[in-house]
Amino acid sequence: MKLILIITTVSLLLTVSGINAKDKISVSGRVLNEGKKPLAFVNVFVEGTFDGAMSNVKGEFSFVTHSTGTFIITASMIGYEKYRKEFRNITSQLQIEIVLIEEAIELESAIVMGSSYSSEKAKGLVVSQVDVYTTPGGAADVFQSIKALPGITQVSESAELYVRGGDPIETVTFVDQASIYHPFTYESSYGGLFSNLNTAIIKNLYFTSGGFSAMYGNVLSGVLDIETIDGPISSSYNVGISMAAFSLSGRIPIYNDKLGMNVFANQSYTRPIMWLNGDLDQFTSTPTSRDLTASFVSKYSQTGTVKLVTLFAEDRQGAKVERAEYTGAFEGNSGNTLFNLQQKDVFGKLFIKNSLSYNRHTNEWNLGILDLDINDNVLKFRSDAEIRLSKKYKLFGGFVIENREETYKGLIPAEDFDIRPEAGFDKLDVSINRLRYGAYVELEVANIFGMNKLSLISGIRSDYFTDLDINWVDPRFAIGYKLSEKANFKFGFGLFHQLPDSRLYSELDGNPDLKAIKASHYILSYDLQIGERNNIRMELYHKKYKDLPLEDDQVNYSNKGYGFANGFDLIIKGTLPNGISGWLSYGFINTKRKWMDYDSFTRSDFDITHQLSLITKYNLSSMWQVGINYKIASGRPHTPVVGANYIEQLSIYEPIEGRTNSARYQTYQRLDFRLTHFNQLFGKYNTIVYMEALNILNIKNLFGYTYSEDYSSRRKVKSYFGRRTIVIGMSISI
Amino acid sequence: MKTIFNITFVLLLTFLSCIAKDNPKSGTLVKIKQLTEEGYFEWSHEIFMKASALCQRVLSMDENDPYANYYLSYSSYRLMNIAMTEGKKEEMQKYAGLAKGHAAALYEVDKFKSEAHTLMAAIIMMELALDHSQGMVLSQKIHGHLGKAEAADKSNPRVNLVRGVMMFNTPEQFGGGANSSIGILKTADAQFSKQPDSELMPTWGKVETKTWIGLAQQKLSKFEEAKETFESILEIKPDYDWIKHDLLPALEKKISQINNQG
Repeated sequence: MKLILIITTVSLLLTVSGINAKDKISVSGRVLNEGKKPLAFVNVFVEGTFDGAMSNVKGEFSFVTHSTGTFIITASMIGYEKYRKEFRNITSQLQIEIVLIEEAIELESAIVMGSSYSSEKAKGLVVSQVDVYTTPGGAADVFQSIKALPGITQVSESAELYVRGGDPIETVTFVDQASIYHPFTYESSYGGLFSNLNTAIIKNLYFTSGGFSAMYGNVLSGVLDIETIDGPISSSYNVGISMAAFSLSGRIPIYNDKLGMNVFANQSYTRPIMWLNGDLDQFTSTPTSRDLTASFVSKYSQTGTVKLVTLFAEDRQGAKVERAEYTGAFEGNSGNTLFNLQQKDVFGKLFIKNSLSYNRHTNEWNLGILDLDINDNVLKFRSDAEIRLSKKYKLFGGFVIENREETYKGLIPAEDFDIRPEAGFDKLDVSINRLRYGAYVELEVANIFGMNKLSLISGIRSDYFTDLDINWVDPRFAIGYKLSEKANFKFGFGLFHQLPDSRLYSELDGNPDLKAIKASHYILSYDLQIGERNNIRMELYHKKYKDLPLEDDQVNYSNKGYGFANGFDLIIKGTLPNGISGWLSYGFINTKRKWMDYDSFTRSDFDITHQLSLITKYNLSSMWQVGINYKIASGRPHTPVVGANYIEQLSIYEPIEGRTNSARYQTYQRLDFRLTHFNQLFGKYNTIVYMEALNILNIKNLFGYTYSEDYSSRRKVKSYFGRRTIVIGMSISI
Repeated sequence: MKTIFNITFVLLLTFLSCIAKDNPKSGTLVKIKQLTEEGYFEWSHEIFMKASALCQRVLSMDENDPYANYYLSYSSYRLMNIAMTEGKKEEMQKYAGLAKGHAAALYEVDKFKSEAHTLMAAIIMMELALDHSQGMVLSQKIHGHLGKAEAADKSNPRVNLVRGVMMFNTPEQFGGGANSSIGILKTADAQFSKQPDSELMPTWGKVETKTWIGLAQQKLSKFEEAKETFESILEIKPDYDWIKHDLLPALEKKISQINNQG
């Protein structure tokens, strides 16, 4: 027994001595932030051991470690940079004061260049795919829905985007890096009516109305950048039918989550809707369109994806046109084809995406003597890369090679006022080819000048057109200050260049030596988030145009034009306590130009002084939703006809125009209403049935005037939605 | 003989205690798991912070330790939950990043594949709660992760727990709602009853599942059934903070109001 006791004691001593044989070091101290305020819950420990403690509310900690000699102490807490320090030759006690530095604000949330609205919250005020689908009167069309945002002027009811006093060609649409210059259906000289991009293929959309990043080149006013959806995770199918269209879609995984396809087909037929709403007599051939959009997505590695997006779209229309000199039918057909192969991958901190695209747009117009075929072919390679150098720095860069060939063939009237079949004409056979090389680099910096809430984006890009020998260098920057967790202030400046309309480069009636148009953007912006779901944004902007094309007696067109656009935009988006959600936007603009055929420096066609949109949606119950979209805007400027001269040899009156844009159409107003019923059939098929009333108040908005033969009297021409139009439709998802 | 036996026994004990002292990792991991359980029932920021701290210490020795990666992700997910209830959105986003990073690190670890995808689905579901406008994109991702989790382990009850909660929070018009969720949650409950106990592998969610069943019953106006469910939970976990201080008192008040009106 005695022996056992001795052994036990020895063993226990051995065990205890095993602990005590090593030196013990007492580590204690405090953890503070940069403002010397104590930080609680900081994990302080000796690396490679379990020895450590968590700081208390006074920031104090203490623990004992058995590490000897050299060891590293780490202190970490979310939101702060990790503290890591090596200590040498510590024998018994260590007293340390640790100062943790607040992490740089994540760059994505710190600042975004330009006036942006995005489906990615980090990039700006949110416009989600659901917003596009449920905007009353938007016909689930991306362009019609985006038009309800401030900064886009309600110049007409077309889908084209008139951004802050800019011509529609000043805004470019990108789909997975590919440029689409004509993403519209029913395109006429007045613009297209809807998008031929299927909303269902949109994953993220980013719209900016100015001051945008250096990654976008040869564009002056706005960018709509669309990222398409990824490969499907599970199979789903949808059938939709309405009085105006029939659609089918499928999302089909082919091989696990590695390969899949998305297919969307749409056929519109407007005859029933025109018949119901009494507009059938306005058409010789009711507008019809069809499009097939498909994407094949292959995930070839954990981080790498290859995506092939294809689009085939075509439409035709035949509308009765009444002009002073001629009444006939406008026949229009257009087609659009896109192939875009995109590859994306991540290599450590480097993210790269490349795109090779081909886009072909064709358009045929016939009216009287006008018989024009337009072809626009764009072949493009684009590469973009971004690398996060540290939490403070992010670098972007990329290049583009784009070849755009536009051809115009056919007959155009020799005089604007005579489109009769027997009228004089000019024969067009013009081909304009532009090869562009562009490159950019951009740096995002958080915590500049050591100020945690101050961020900067600074970039520069250059573009060069080889055949025209035109090049430019555009610097751009934005600086943002985070006033609080909910409020941001931002200032942006940038130079932007874009070539004018290709037709102006025609050797026949244009000037092949025209320079690019230049614009300078200045933007002051304030964002405030109220609660979780409400945002307010206010922006002041000034845009100055230089080198605008101007008609010239000697050289057809010169670059002597100029102009400006000053304005204020406001948007309030959110959800009220009673469940009503939506947004209210207001835009004020003052824009003047001297360009094209303007006789003086005067307000431009896009000078819609005031514009207000209100979009609201309310869930009456879990199955019923009601929504309205109300718009009111100042009337569009136009040039009145003040008289006419009779030209005897042509037997026609030539109108005498008054001062450019010296008159305005009446105030534009429209109220759209939508009632949606959500349900499930047989407990598994989600159905949506909707009734949409466009221009429910039947307000006679103006498209323009048609004149009597001698221009002595005029008659109003209704806008596209100048009459109340009812659409009923449904969709089933399987 | 007896003496020799006793000596051997004492020496063995001494040896074992030395091993335990020199290899405290497994003990720490057990402690971490216990902390996460306590943290949930007490809904305690501090306890989850402690669990995170211990995970970080384990990872400072072995950055690939799957248990430490899992519980650091899980603790961050719960801290994300707590930050949301306190309205701390930025903090929530930071925890989301941490939680996702450590969950994703386990996708290729066979033993944790199902758990990692389930946790990722739960994290994304919290992000969805923060930003409904991302519904279409995020719900696809959630269902994708749940599909992968189920493919990796059909008997994982947490898959149906997360699926049930997702369904509960999905509007009826999109096929969700309390009615749709209750069957899924009951499946999860049955799976939990068969779940083997484990010292280190995740076992969380059993009581949480019953809680969501109670919530679904409440939403379907089955107030007495919901009360019974909540009370049965308190019998197992008398200090379950959510039931004890929030759900049951609110439900009792509701029942009392109905009775008074009746």
